[in-house]
Amino acid sequence: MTKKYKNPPIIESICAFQFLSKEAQDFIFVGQFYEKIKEEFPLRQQKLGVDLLLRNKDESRISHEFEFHFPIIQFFNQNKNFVIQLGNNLLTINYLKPYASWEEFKDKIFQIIEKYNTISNTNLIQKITLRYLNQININDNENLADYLLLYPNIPQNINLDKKNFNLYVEFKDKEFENNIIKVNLHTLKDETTNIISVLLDIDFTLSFNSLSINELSSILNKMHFEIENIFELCLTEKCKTLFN
Amino acid sequence: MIFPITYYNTLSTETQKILQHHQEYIDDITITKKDINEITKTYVNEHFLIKQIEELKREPSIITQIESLQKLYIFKNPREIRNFLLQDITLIEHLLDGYLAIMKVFQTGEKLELEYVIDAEENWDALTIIIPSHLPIKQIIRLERELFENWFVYIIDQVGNKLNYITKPL
Repeated sequence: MTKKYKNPPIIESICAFQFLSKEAQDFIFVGQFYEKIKEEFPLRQQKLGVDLLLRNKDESRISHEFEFHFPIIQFFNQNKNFVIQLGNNLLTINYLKPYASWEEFKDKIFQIIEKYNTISNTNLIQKITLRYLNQININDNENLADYLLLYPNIPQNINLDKKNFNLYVEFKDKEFENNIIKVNLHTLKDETTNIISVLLDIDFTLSFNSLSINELSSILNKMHFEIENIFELCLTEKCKTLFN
Repeated sequence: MIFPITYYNTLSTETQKILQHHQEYIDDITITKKDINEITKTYVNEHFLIKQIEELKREPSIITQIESLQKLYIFKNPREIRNFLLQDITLIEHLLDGYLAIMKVFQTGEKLELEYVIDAEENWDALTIIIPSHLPIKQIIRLERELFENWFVYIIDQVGNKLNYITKPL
């Protein structure tokens, strides 16, 4: 986040791009991409994509099909806190804690995008997702409503102890068409400590007919600004003192 | 499409046969209802499991994937498990594939457990998958070996001593 905290609660930031292309990618593309990034991301792992489908062919016969998806290949840096995930015209960049700054993350996004574009047959973007996951730890003897402004409204008559909650809200940004901001606030299950961990997950997705890479910087800045704004508005000042 | 042997081995024999057949005659695979009745139990369960695992694998967030593992495993010490997985996020993929492999071999109705274990004196820590089973001990030992041969032997170089499994007779 642009507003600097000494101990930011960000545990993961994600930037994902869906590119516009008529051609499906193949393993040659994956190999070429790996050549470009392998110094910084030497480790790799494959997530296989396969699905099994059963269909009624006629009254007496059932056909079954295997549906293959282009696998997702993950590339990790040596510390395994930076991950690139490559799918079919899909590029996802995950940055795990410790998070330094938006500027650093954005620089990294652009470095990777540039390398991708040197070998890709398209530089038009169909969809961008920018997502931040924040973990906030609060003692269980505290009132969570003192920390969170976005919080489930529970009727007082329900005279039971709250165990876990999961709150999901979707917003639309007025500035952009075809956009959706998903905010998910939920507790992380853990009965073994006296700390309640809350995960605040803010996910901003924008769809385009086709967006050129040249326009990317300003779009990303606006998306980040919106996410930061929601983050700040969801938490009380008391909560923010935990990050300093 | 070439299947990594680790994944291929997690499929049932029937599915492996179908898959082999499918690769050769991709446009013409039909089986009769009688055939399907014979294999439905394994097949549909396996289909459901594969779908479930695929859905978890498609999740782009590493953190959300770690949280989703709790749909498959009971985290005995959640905070420690999360921290350990964040130190080596490549283990997540092995835990997803491992679930499928274990379910295929043991076909247990019990939920699997996951525990972070540490030996401070030996300066060693790891995740242990605990497989509860009602089967007789002899059969459990045989299935443990089968699980090793079908799954674990293919990932042992990658996971080192960071991931292992034990059975818990019930």
